[in-house]
Amino acid sequence: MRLLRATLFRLGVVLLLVFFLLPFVWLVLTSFKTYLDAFAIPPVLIFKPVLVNYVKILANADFVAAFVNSAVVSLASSAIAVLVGALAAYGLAFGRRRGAFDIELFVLSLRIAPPILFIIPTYYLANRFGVLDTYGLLIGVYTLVNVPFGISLLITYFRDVPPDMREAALVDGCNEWQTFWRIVMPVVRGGLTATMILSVLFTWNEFLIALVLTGKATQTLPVAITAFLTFQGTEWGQLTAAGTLIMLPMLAVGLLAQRNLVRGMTIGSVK
Amino acid sequence: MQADALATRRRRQPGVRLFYQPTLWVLGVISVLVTGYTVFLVLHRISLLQPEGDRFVGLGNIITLLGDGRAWNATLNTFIYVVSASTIEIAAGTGIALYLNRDFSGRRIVRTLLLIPLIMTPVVSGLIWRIFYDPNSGIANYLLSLVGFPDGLDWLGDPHMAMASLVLVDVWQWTPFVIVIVMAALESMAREPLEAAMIDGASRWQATRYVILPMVRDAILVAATLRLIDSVKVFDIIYVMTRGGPALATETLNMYSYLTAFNSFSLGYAGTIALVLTVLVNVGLVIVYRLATGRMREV
Repeated sequence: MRLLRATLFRLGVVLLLVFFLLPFVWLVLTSFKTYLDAFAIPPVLIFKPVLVNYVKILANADFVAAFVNSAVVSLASSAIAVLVGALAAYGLAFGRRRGAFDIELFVLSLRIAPPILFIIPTYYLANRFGVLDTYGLLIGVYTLVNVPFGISLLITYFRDVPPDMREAALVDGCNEWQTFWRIVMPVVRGGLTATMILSVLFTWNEFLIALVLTGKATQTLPVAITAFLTFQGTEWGQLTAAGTLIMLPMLAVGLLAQRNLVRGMTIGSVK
Repeated sequence: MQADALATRRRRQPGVRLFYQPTLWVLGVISVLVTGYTVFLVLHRISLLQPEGDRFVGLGNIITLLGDGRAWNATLNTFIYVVSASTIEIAAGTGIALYLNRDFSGRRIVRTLLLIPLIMTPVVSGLIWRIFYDPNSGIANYLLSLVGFPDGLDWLGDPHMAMASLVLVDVWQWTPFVIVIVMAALESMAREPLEAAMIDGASRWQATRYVILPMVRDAILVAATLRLIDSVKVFDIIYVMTRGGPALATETLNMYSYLTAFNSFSLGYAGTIALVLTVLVNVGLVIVYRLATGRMREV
């Protein structure tokens, strides 16, 4: 009886995993299939893997350019956000008068306002100033999105630093900047890494802002892949290879930061 | 020494403020600017396709919106999408978290694997689900044929099906989010009340309903709030899979605003739609919060 219940429980877990993982597994499998295998009904699970889809997609200049764009934009905006966010979080954690400014509330209201609300005026202004489809605009906008997120996530790490540590450094003759850079920053290294990873993850996956503000020169991966979708119709093989390549780096870093993933996704809401 | 340190700290205070004040000022000024420009857009008829430029129309955009059948359709679609997706996600997520709430080997791996739908690039998820939903070669119809429905369904092409198909994708992507939040709350829950209830002879169902659920209700409320906020804004999946079609059956306010701004280039009207959407989200949040806290007092 015990054994039966344990087996039934395991079966339930397996079914859950099949449902939640099937899209991921299918994507990767299809990317290694030939055109014929990809469309076979019933689906073939045992097949001879081929690399032709990867060869084709990596030979596609637009895709490679989009990969570079995504990397540049998400790394640059996240690095700036972590740096600016760390400064602000340090100041807010140690020097804030009570009730002066509620960053969590600000982040929450940013999350409540749909991005379309601010992307329309941004597009209007960028169009007027002729800066659409530039790295500067894209990095600037993503930095603005990432900074409040970075501050509110980092502040939780800075609050874990004992205030005595900072005061001891100040008494011993460090100035505020030295205390920040040499004493406190090394202590919150883990938080800095987590914030960087999550910020890159969100920026890399972001679609609406990129779709509106990029053009041929700066389009990021999610925008590029939807463009393939329209032009190439049913080239599922290449599309799934592209999808796998887009997703894989994020899967690696996302699972590395898994302890902080949900913390980052719920930030500002635990009020 | 102590007084010394305090004096030092007081003297240093302006220095600390320099760490955050510039950033907050920049964020504040930009927020005000963007809000100002949104108001400007709402009060003007701005079309990038017409050369005569911006024209002041006062409340004209809002009046147009009230008589715009497509906007009402989009409002209804948004409501259906948000309510059905978040309800299913909260119910299924909580249920699965309770189901997994026991010691078994591989528990941590299961938890990690459940994060994959959250990490996957949403555009790519939409793409693979589109492949699943393909009426001829997709596995959705293949699975249906295995259980005795050989004709299959036109998942995304049938206006009566498309919304349900999109909700299923949202459920797939976001139920794990609820599971993980509730699992974390269950893990940090105090054991004693549950043990006391079991000793007093509570059934498994009673223990779950009257002891466990009240203790994780804050976590459920957080998850519900976030799902509500985020599902209203869903864009990538709808864009990749249906782009609001067929026959506007899946056009949400968010998508309608996007199409108005960037297909018709009527920025003023698009801004108005986005503003109305934002107001509706806030009203929805207040209602949900009232309901949830009112309910909680009863529990």
